[in-house]
Amino acid sequence: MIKAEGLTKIFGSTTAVDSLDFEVPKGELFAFLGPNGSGKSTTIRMLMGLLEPTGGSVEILGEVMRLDKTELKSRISFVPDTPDIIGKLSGREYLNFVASVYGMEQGEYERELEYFLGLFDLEGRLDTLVENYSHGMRQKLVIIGALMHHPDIVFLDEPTVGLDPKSNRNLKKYLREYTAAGHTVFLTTHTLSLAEEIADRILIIYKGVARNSGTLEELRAVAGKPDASLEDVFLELTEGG
Amino acid sequence: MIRSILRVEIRSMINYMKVLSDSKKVIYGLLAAVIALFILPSALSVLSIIILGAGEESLGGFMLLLSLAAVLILTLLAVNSIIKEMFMDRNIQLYLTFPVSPAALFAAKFIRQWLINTAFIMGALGIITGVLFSMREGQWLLTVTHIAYFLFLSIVSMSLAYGLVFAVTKVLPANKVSEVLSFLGGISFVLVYGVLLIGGSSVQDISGILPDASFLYSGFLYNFSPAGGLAGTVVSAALAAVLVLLLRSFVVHAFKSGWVGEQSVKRRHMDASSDALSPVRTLVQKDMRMTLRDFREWTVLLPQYLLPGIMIFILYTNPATAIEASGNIHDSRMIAVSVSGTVVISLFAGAYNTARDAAHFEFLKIMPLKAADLVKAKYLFNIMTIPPVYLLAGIVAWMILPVSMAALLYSSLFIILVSLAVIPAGMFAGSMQPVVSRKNPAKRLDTATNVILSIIMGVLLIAAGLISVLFARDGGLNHLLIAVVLSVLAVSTGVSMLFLRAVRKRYEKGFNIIYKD
Repeated sequence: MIKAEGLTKIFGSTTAVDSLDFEVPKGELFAFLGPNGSGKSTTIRMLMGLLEPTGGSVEILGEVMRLDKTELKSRISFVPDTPDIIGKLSGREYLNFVASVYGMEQGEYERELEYFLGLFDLEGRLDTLVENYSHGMRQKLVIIGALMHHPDIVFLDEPTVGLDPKSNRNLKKYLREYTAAGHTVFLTTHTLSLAEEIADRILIIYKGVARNSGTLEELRAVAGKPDASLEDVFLELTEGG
Repeated sequence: MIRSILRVEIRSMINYMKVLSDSKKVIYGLLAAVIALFILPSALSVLSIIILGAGEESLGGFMLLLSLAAVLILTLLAVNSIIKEMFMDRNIQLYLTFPVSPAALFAAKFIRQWLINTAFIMGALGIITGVLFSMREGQWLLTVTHIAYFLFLSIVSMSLAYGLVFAVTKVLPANKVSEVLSFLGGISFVLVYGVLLIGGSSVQDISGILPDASFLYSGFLYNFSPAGGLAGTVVSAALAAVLVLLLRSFVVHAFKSGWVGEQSVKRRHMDASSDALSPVRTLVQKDMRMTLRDFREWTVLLPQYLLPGIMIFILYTNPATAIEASGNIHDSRMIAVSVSGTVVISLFAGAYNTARDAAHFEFLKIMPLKAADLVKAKYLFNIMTIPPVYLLAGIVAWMILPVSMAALLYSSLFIILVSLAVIPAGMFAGSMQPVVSRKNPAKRLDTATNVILSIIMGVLLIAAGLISVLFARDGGLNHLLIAVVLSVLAVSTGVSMLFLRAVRKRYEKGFNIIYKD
């Protein structure tokens, strides 16, 4: 589903991402972790086609990713790290736009809208301008926009920041069911407990270089800490404890 | 896809209009009235005089001059909105995460920007010149050819603006480019003023030194011939199409290579030693660095700093005022400009520099800083940045203009005393209801304060002439009156400390901040 080979990005004299290789199969929830400035956002932007790699390649759903492949892009979606919304729109107008560009049928759109508004407690709040929403409400809106058309792959960059506990729990539950149904999730987060709880596999990147990857058990074994939390494992593998 | 994006953009604009505050509606209404009642009639009369009265030999030069001026002004006006939409907002990046092709996104954005930024104004200009040339020659098809030509120029303006923004952004960080280009866009009004003020009187001279452009326009825009009109229209349309296609491939390449939105990758190393200073010194240093490192700060205040220059320009070059310019009237004018210019910049800079604290007010409040130190530091910063600039400008003016040493000394005294007396009033205005806008950090003052300061500025512009008359006597300066006014100002400097006390209270209680976007 997602394949990166020798993925490299150099800005001037700085190598932000260095020869990254990984593969995420169908139906997997893949957590991509790293400290601040380690190259996570640069990698996601290259995977989404928003940034041209200096070297290497990205394949999404078996195709080389490019910005002008709208068919391919209609099968993926993205939740950015800051929940910005295009234009000066109300929540409903934003979701109408998303439904239109992803070619959703009216009936399907209404059904999904009702389901997700319930899931994230946003009923009755769609008809005010998004600029008046709280951070958490914006985050919910962007998540709804990314999930309601059931993409094959969803890229989530810090999706739980600002979410209330109930929505947080609902999102985790939904993502588990979503991957169980054969969809793929690519998640980056600093909330290591979230990755520990829901990720099938984890890749740790440090200073642009892939450090370790595998299941939590495999990473614990590499770190030599069989009962440790992901936080301990992460710090051991990135900072040497 | 283009339609979906355009629909969202239009919806967005409608929403923007709907939620406009009443005060903003009034401001826009006033602005529309000023354009309809002053700028449009001025433009119409200047164009009518030239087009209907000029000899045929100067028409080519005039059209070339008009085209260059219109393209230059609209290009500068367009760069600001292009850089904001393409680089500063995250809109482009967000759109591109959807199943939207870069080409469709460019098309939608370009159509909207073209219609709003250039096509509307160029179209109107085309209609005006077309009708005037039609009246001159009795050939109404000239209206059509003029509209076609000016719409072509609107595409040229957009292409230049896009090219300028994208090319410069390739080598400089977008936020820095935004600061510089916004400034250029901001001062482009001076060009409009220049065209309107000196256009009518000097156009003949200027067009005389321009290359003969009759081979471009004769038959197409005047001396109409069917073949010339058709050829000109077709060439205009074809060139416009080629420009749009070139621009499309250029911008789409920028989208695909991640060039747009590629920011914060160029990091400049800042040398600074780890020194702990006194609160006042460190606050002054904070303001100084914020000003020197952000060109947008200059953008906001430079027009006010330049105002005395414009006033001098009007007083010394306008034929209407130049006639009476004899003897020592120059001296009193120099003093008048110093007084009114210092009042304007002291008010604006005092207000803007104080309102800047709103953006990090909570940070300042949680620090163990006394309100008195904050006010003292702000006052010092304003004193360090306002009078020295004007004193220097005064010396330059004295070197260029026929002004006596006495006038320079009086002007310097006025600059110092007026700024000391008025800066506190500006600080008071800036602390009244400051605005914090993430998208437009230069917007710092609420509409009411802006209106009040603008009215004061307008009144002072008019009063400058009156002040110069008051200070002149018997071919010299009225030293007694000047001494009296200087004494009053010295007393006012002390009285203005009351404003500082009020500002200190606001710092203590907390600013009444308006948060935008």
